[in-house]
Order: sequence, then C-alpha cells, then structure tokens
Amino acid sequence: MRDFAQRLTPAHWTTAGESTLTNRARPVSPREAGPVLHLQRALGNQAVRGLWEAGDASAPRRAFRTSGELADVAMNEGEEWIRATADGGSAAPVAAPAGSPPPAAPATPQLRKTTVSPVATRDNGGFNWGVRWSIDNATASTNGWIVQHVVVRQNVEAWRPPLLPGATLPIVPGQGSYGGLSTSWYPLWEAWQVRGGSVFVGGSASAHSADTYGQNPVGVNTKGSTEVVGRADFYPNLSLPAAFTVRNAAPAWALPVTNTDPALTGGTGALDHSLTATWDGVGGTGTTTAATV
Amino acid sequence: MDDNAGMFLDRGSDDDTVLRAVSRLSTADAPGTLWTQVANDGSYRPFHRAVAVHELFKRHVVPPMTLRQLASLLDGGRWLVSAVIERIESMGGEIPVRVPAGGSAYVIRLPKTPATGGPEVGVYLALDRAIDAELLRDALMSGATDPSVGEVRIVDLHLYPESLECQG
Repeated sequence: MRDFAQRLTPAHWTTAGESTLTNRARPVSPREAGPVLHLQRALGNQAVRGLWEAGDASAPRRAFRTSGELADVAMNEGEEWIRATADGGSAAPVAAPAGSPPPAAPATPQLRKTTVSPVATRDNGGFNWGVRWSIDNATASTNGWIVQHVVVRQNVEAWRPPLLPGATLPIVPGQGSYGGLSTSWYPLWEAWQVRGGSVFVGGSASAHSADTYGQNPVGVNTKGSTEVVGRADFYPNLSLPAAFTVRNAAPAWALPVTNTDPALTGGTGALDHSLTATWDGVGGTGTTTAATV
Repeated sequence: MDDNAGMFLDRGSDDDTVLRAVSRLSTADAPGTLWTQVANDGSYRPFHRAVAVHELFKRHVVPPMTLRQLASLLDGGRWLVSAVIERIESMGGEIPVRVPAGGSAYVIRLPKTPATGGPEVGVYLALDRAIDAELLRDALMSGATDPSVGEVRIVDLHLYPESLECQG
C-alpha cells in the first residue's frame, strides 16, 4: 500500500548542501539517499516520519512512501508532482494526493486582434483598416511567429463607353486604369515575429504597429464588392520556412510572405480577420460601405 | 583623406570592401557629400551607389525634414533617375513607417547590380501630405515647380535592409 506523499512547500525543498529542487525531475543519487537510508535502517519508517511531522529540524527533509522505497516528492513551481527513485532511475510523474489543489497548467499564449485604425472608406471601393496583433499570456520567453493566410475576392463591374447607360461588364481591379487589390497577389501567407512576447514587423527590429487592409478606389463608374478574408494564428517557437521572403512590394510590403501553403501546425487558436466592401458607382453614389470581422 | 573614405570612393572596391569601409566610417568622418559623390555618379556600380544612398539617409536624413531640405542634401539626386518610386495605397500587410492622417507613404527602390546577388536596398518614406510619386521624384531632384511641395515634411522613414553588414 502506498503511504501518503508529504506535500512540501518550497521552503522545505532545500537542505544544507543540497540544491533547490526545480521543476525538472531529478533522480536521487545513492549518496544523497544515504542519510535517510541510515535513519530509516536505524529507526524505521515510522520513527523518521515522527521526527518529520514533529517539525524536527534535524530530520532529513525527504518524504518517503513505502518501506525500502525512497522518494523525493515535491510540488514544483509548475504544481507538478515529481518522484525520483532512490536508485537513480528515471523520474516519473505521480498523482497528487487526494485533497491537493489541481495542477494549474501554464496559460497558453493566445493571439489577440485589436483595431487601431477604424475602418475608413472612400467612394468606389476605397477602404483602410488597421489592426494590431498581440499575444495574451505572453512572457519574456514567448517566441514564435504569427502567420496570417489571406485571400481576396473581387466581384466588380464597370460602365464604360460604348455601353448603354446602366449596363456594365466585369473588370479586374488592379489592372489597367483600375485601382484596387489585385487577386493575382493571393492567396498569401504573411508573418510577424514574436520575440520575448512582443510582436515585430516580420523579423525586423521594428515594432509591429498595424496590419492594414487598404485598397485605393477601384475607379469611377464601377460597382461591386471586395472581400479580404484573413485568418491568423500564433505558432510558438516556429522556425519560419525559407519560402517566406520579404519583397518590399504590394500587398504585404515589409512582411515575409509566401504564396505557397506552408502547411503549418501547432497554432494556439486562429482568429478571423476579414473585411467586405461594397459600392455602386454606376447606378448609385459610389459610397463604399464596409463590414469587418 | 581618411583611408576608409578612400576605400569607399574607389570604384574598384568590391562589395565587401565597400561595406567594410562603411562600417568603419563614423558620421563625423563621412559628411553628406561623401555619399552624394558616389550616389550621383553613374560610373559607380549600382550596388555601390545604393550603399551610398542608404548611408546618406541613415546618417543625415532626420524627420521632420522638408522635401526642400532633403533635395538640398541630395545635391541633384541623379540616382533617382534609375530608382523606382511607388506610392503605397493598396496593401494587406504592414509598412515600417507610420503615416499620419492626411499623409502618405512611398517606397523608393534602388537598382541592383545585375548578377551580384547583393541585398535589395530601398527606403520607405512617410510624408505629412499626399503627393503623386512623380511629383516626389521631381521635388527630390530639385525640380518641383510648386513651392508648396518643398514644404512637405518627411515624418518617418525606414531603410531596408536595416543595416548593411560586412561579411569580412
């Protein structure tokens, strides 16, 4: 039958000449076990436990469970019970005794999106929206990359001579005399590095300020919609694949970007980041309305 | 003349030698004219000229400098003839400069030396007013006809690469 495992406070963890237990399992060497084994053999388990429970400072600060089995049992900083066998064998987690508080798992870093530049629109499809990425539950040791997958769908028509008034034909924004985001740039994956819990413009030294969805007006006598559909996630400790390169060109500009699916795994929880703009500059005023997620 | 300035001005210096000279030149040793001398001289290799522009901006362009002041520093800015200037309007990403309300952002890309594999060199600029990209080029080459354009201020800038590292 298993004996109880004495729960130790950090103050109990260190005895003279010993190192402080850490959150890493540490086997007990025969040399370290010596004083306890000596007492155990001389006095028996119950006697040693009696010294311990009486708070005798001279008692070795080790808990042991069953006869012949010596264990270091400690509640480490991560609230994980660790046992190391006296023969120097491998450490293995053991269950906390009944009545102990449940282990508190470290909080997982989570991506957060905050609007820093509210949506502004211009007639005939123009818009601008800035959001800032941050990592909730970040610590100085939180590193990795935020990667966002973005696609753009354009559904735009235009009137131009010699079409009859009100008649339209499909056009391609970003081509010829028409402004707007070019669908040929997409799909893309773009990335911001997280170092020490802070977010940077790609791998540069520049602090991240805003991820911006911006489109200049497509043009007069156009109507339709532009959808920018993004989904971003934080990947802790990711090494960014070499396919990501900084182009210093539209649409990602200073961010490392790739047009090939990097097939990343291990994200901590994806966030939607999308905008839909609609306008009618053919039969209407051209005023642009925008909805965001 | 400083040895490193001499190395930098030498048209025969290879890329590593140019970068090594740059890394050893303090701003005090390297007035703006050292950089414009190379940047504006078409007999230097494109990468050599791009390094000169990079260092000129890095060491001597301080917001909120006006375009007129920058044009004076560029001393004609003949390197701009072969540079690409683009106004940044459509984006789904991030630029490393902050644009104020009513302002605008631009990227100036410098030509590369063919087949050398050196880094692309360029500069992002944020201005306090929106102007056409070609008007910006004219203003920086001291050719702006509208005096008010010369009063437009540079409110932020960012160079890429962030630093030109010497491998040797």
